[in-house]
Amino acid sequence: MFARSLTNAVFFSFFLASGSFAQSIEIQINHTAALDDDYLCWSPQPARARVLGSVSSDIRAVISSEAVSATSTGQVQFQVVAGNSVSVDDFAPEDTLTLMLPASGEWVDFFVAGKRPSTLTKDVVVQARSESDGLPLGAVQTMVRVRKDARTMTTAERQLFLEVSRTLHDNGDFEKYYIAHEAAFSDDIHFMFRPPHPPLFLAWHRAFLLNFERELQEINPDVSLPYWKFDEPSFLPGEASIFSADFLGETQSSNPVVRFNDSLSTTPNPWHDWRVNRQTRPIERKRVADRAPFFGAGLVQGPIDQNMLSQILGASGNDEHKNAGGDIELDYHNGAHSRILGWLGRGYSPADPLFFLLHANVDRAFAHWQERHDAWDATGTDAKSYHATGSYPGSGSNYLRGSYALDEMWPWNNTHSDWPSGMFFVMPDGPDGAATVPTPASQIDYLNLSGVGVASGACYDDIVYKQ
Amino acid sequence: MHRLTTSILLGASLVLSSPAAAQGLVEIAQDTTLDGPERIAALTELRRQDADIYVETLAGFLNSSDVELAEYSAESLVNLVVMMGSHDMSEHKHDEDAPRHDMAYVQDVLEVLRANVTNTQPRVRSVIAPFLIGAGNEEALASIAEATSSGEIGEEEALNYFYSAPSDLGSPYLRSYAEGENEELAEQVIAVLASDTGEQTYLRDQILTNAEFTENRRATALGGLARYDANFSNYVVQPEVLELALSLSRVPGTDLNGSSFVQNIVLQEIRQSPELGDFYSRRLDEIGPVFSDTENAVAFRNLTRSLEQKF
Repeated sequence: MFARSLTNAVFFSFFLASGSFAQSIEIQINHTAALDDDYLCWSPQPARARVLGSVSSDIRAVISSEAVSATSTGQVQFQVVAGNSVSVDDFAPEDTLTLMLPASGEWVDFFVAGKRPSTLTKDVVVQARSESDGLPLGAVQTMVRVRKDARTMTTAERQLFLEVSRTLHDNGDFEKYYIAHEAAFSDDIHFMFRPPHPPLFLAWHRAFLLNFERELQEINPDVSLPYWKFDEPSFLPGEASIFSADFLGETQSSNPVVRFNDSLSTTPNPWHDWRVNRQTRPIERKRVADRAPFFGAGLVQGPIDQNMLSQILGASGNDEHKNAGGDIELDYHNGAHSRILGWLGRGYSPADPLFFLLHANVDRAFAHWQERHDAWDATGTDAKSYHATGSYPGSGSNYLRGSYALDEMWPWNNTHSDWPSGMFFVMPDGPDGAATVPTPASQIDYLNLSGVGVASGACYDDIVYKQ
Repeated sequence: MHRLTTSILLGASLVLSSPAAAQGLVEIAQDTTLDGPERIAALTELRRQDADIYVETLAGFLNSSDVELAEYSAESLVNLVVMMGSHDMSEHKHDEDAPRHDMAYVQDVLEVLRANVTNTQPRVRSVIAPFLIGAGNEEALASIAEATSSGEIGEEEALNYFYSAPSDLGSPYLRSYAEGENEELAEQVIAVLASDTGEQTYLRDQILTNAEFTENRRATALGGLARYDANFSNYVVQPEVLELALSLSRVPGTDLNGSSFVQNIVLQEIRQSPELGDFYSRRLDEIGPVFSDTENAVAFRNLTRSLEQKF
């Protein structure tokens, strides 16, 4: 609530500063007047503009991306297309757009997409100016909200993420994550690398992360889930490690409990004394995040070899979901879990919120693989994109019900008797405003490259909509 | 020449899954003259070709004199089973119609790991022991305890493995350190136990208030409990405990943050309780030096003034 008020205050201040006290043009993102859905990723989202009040003639307005302040980093771009959707094939955005807005007040549709990431809050204005004299006619503030490398986050972004996740925890909405993960038996959502290659690992965890991130955004829509690039050092040159007491926690040599700045510190860490009912101690991690590589001295690196992902993406046979998913799981994902251990080495690993940053990096690897192999089919018919195509065919099939592309997944659908009972997730609303029960297929085209579905609203700083 | 041989072998192995190709990959992995990535690539390829030979090969490497290869093998074996979950695979509860996956190999890998939990290479066992013990493997825990008793494994190393155990399993081992003769390890363990809700009553009743233990050990308990025990403020206000707490928070070398926690809580309790205020207003000279750091000194001075006015 506070954050929302703050956003409105910033919005109002902007108009005071711009000298435009009354808008003559209204602009809406996602076709709603609500401000809490005015967030963008790389995918084009529907937007519209119209003339307000009574005017004698149509208005030619130039729509552009403007910065809220000198420190703003976000930028958006625009496109007008015939029809209601944009696909990657016809995506050709421009920095400005000239619209003829009817005097009748009829809406004129266009698309808006992120071009450069914002820093922290709504720092971009979709501004409409008069084509003739450049005067501002209307505007709406937005944010290009992407998942970032945790090392590149500003102090304010880090603090927001820590605080909001702590709020989720203290509200009692966090426990279900590790309970569900532990209950989803190992050979249902893991072990994709072993025959018969259960297919859920990547798609299920993508939905799981999205659920978590959207719950955070319900608390404060400015937050996004960062990722821990565990195949690189935990620090950028000249900067401190992200595994410090003021951010993701410091592993101690003689104490398995991760150290966070406590309440006596000048900068207390909201993750201090993070407890879950499953454990009697706060977060434990056994291993350091950085280490020397195997087989020969070299630079300090993360738990996983820096070449691992490129080797997986380029390996023979890894143009197929089944093979690539297995390698990403075993060599990339399992390696990160097992080299940190502690809570992250157990079935209840989401009890440590670092799980979500680790898995965001795994999901990013999945997205890189999809990009490289053009594996975006969301219809559930292409085995290259998801190898258990169609719907559960009945007993005697290779995989559990709930694993096939068009099956609703547990724990968002509690009707599958094959899965544990008593755990029912409700996916928070997405950019389209509709809560849905995720299927594996619905997780594949998360950027909506096909233009026929809905973008998830989650995206990575290094994977754009169209190269 | 080596690189050419490696490439040919790796290339051939893609189309020819045979014992000879597998053996070639094993030899590449063992060849210390080759680059690390080449050796790792050979093992990865071996896994793709034949998972059983892969596990057998890694098991053999655990005792290699090439410590890096042995450690890498231990990590790779743990990788295979780290997501086995917390459930016994034999009790996997699916409907009768649901497909069942062959998870027998998990047990095979676990057997290899169990057999190597006290591997002669510390770098190998430091990978295996925390994983197995963290999974609640009592056999592994007992093996480490036995190896420690016999002197094969040092106490400090063993302690790190005992920390990994689920609290109920690890508790007897950790308490033995908390009460043991090694002062340094005792303080380390007490600092860990203080964060454990299942051990806080034990620490309060058996360590903090037990005059048989050194002041440093008891001060560590105090600082840890002040920081982590949600009930701390309830029992610290009891005059005898409060007096002890104030005394211990002055012990040199005490965790400064823990000490500050104690002092803050004491200040808060005195402010809220007239009876305590009365009790301590008559002992200000004695209590005053406790509040040595600047922030608390100011708070204490203000408190002193208010108490003086009140009484």
